[in-house]
Amino acid sequence: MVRRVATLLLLGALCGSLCGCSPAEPETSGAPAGMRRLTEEQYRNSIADIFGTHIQVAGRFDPILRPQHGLIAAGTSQISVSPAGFEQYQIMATSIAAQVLDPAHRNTFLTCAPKDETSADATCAESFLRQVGGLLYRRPLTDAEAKAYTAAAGEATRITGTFTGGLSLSLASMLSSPAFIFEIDATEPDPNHAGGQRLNAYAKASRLSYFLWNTTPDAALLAAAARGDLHTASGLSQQVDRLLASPRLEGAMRTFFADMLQFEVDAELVKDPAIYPLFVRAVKEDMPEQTLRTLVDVTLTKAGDYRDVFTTRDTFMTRPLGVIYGIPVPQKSGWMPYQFAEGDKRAGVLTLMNFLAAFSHDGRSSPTLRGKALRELVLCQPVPIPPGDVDFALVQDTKNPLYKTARDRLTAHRANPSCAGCHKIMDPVGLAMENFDGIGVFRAEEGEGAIDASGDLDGVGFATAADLGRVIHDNPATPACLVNRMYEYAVRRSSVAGERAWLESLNQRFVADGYRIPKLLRRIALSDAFFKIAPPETTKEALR
Amino acid sequence: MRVRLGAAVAALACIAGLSTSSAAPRVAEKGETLGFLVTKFAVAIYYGDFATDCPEGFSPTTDEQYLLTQTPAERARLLKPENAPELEKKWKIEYTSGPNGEDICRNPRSFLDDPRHPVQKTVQGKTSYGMNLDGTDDGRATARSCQHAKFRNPQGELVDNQLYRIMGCAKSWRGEGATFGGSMALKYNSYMKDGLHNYLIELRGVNDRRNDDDVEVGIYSTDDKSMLDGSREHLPNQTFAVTSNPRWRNVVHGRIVDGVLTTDVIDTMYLNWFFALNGPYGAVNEHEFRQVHFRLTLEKSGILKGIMGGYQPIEITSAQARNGGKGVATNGNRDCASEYKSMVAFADGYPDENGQCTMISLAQDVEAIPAFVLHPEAARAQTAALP
Repeated sequence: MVRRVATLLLLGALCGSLCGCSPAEPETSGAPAGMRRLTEEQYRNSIADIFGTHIQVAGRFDPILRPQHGLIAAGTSQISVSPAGFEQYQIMATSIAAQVLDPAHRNTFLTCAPKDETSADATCAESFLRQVGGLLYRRPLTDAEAKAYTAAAGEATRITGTFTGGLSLSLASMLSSPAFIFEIDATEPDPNHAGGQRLNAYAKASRLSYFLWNTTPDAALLAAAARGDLHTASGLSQQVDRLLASPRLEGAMRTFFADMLQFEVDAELVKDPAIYPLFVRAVKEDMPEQTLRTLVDVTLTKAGDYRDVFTTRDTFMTRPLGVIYGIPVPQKSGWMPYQFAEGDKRAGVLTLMNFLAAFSHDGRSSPTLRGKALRELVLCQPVPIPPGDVDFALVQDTKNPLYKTARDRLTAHRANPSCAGCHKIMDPVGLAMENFDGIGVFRAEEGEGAIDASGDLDGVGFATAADLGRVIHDNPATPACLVNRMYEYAVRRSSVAGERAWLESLNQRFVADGYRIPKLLRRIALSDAFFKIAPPETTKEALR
Repeated sequence: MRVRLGAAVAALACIAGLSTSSAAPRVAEKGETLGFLVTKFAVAIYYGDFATDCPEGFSPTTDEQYLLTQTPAERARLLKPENAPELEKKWKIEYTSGPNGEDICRNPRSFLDDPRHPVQKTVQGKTSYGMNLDGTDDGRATARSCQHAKFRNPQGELVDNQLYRIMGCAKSWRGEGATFGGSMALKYNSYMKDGLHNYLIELRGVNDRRNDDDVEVGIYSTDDKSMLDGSREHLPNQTFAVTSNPRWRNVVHGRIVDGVLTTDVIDTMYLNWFFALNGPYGAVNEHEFRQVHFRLTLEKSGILKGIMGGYQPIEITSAQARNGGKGVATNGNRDCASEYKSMVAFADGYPDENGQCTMISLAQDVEAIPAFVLHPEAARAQTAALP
């Protein structure tokens, strides 16, 4: 997979340099420098990368709220830390520091020995704290910081009576610092724009790393930052290509897709066991992984056209999932590739169980939830919030003999003019998935009523859910939405008005690149827009 | 239970590389293949009127049987509350051990001549599930059977089921009340839910699910465990691989008449069994049945349901108690010696050189739900589920 992505990237780079086929990048406004709280995944990844996977991270994290019609990644720039959340950070920091400096691990990180284990040793302590601090803060410690943490270690040694005990408390305070918990946009004057600011090299390294690896910068990236390479086109390109060629890219893309398709819904997902006895724990656990594997397979492993995720017949199966899909799964445990037959009712990730179950009710399917999710998550077309006085009784009455199917009930519901507007947007595409019940099991009928899955999306007709996938594949909003989401994920904030032209340009290049995500990632990571910092006085209107 | 059965037929096309298993049915080329996971496979108890079936009531439990061995005066004394510890010691320790410390359950043969452990009360009713194994209409002795009484099944056919005769009035087998509640069947079927042993049925070459006089029936063990729903019911449409042990793969010809599948006789059928035992009677880690017939209804819901009849060596029938040891007699309150003595007394199949039958006729309740059955040599789906 890595080799294939690298080949594509190389070809793209050659095209850009030899053919001169890339138009100039539109100027963007950027956004003011900010700070983004590490997600739980980023925090855990960072600790694992700095100290090793054997260091346990035990604690709870404040949730990061998803902005309306946005990504959780963007929510990281809109939150702080609650008192209770900070308490948790302190607990985790103390625990991590204690593990790092316990007898089993300290020799890995502590390369010097104190003169006396019961006394402070400023030289040894500072050496350790500068080394570890540079990794935690993703930049070298300032002399003042190093001095302060060394002094703290000395004082803590006096209190605890041991050198490593004191060092551990100082390390814990470092782990509790905003400089670690937040990714901070440190800026410096931009030599290419008089009076302007730009991210400094270390902030660039962090932005790149959390975008493409979803973790803290590694030593090579920090070294590149130290050398100033990230301020040069070739140096930046070299690092971006290295990051893109790494297997760690997959982890970041899995996080992106899970964010884009709102996989957090799965955690709270409950189904009525009397109605859906097949929705057992093993099935629920495998459900999101199937979709993620399919997405990664199409976009990274095969480096294919992103739009194919809505039409692909290739996916992956486990035995528990075989129960849902009604198919045999020869492999006893783990995952195996599976291909739906030509003409199967399923094709694409929207016909896989995860989407179908996540956007259904506890005891029945929901064309409205599915249609809304498709519009908002896949096409980036927000659906207005329903008015407060809507009567859902008819829609929810699944035993009404006059309205046997969801289509019948929703058709009646749309007779209410205040409902019709939004339901015209959601229902036709949602009804296309009615051949799948509330957990994604295929059904030809709902009760005694035959299911009609036909409809149209923006005037383009389809007959089945698989057919709808083809229509989504060909809808220009599909790649445009992906481009917007990916940029939002990259900069971890919502895009601003001053970036619209750039995003339009990026979308055009994505189309020209054959809708290949690795190329899109590279274009974003090498762009000026990705690192652009707006002056602090930029008005809210300009950013809106 | 009504199960949803789906797109399995289409799925077959996706799994290539067919090769034929060693137990591959000969009619594979024609008709469809239906796979099932056996969800019930336990002794069939006919729940008729209890007063008719067991007019003397239940067979005594271990503690009850112990008290029956005592004089009325001693019995009364032991039943006084202040003597409860003494009573418990006597029936749980003394009564369940032989003169040389033999375990009543592990070594029941040692108690065959012990009058304290009599033959159990037998079913007096005339109805039982089962099959006519000896082919007679009067239960007379034949080359392969000993003289015994016949039952009639609910359809009025003469059948053999001596195991039901001796265990049908035992609380541990019948359960209390006209249900499976507390019964041996409940326990045995629960073991399959726990994945201790699981069985598969496969029908091959089915051209007409209502009437087809030429189908192949496979009865297999599988090492794969079954997934259960929140109510501890087996999930339909799971995938299972047939055991790689050819001894636990059984294939027989069958016919479907009006939706009822009847198999020819399987002379000897082995299936793996949880109750592995290395006891005084040798290693027992499998079921052994002789002269096996199945009669199963292919229900519209997709479930296969019916009866299996056959003989079983009493050493295997009693293996469950032997495996549990004295705990079966004390915690389970089953007089293993009486059970075994009853089996010896009522065994009706396969006489030894002395004319003593070594096997006992029985009937098993069988229920199976749709599943995908794979043969390890082919790793290929060989089933289709019902629509």
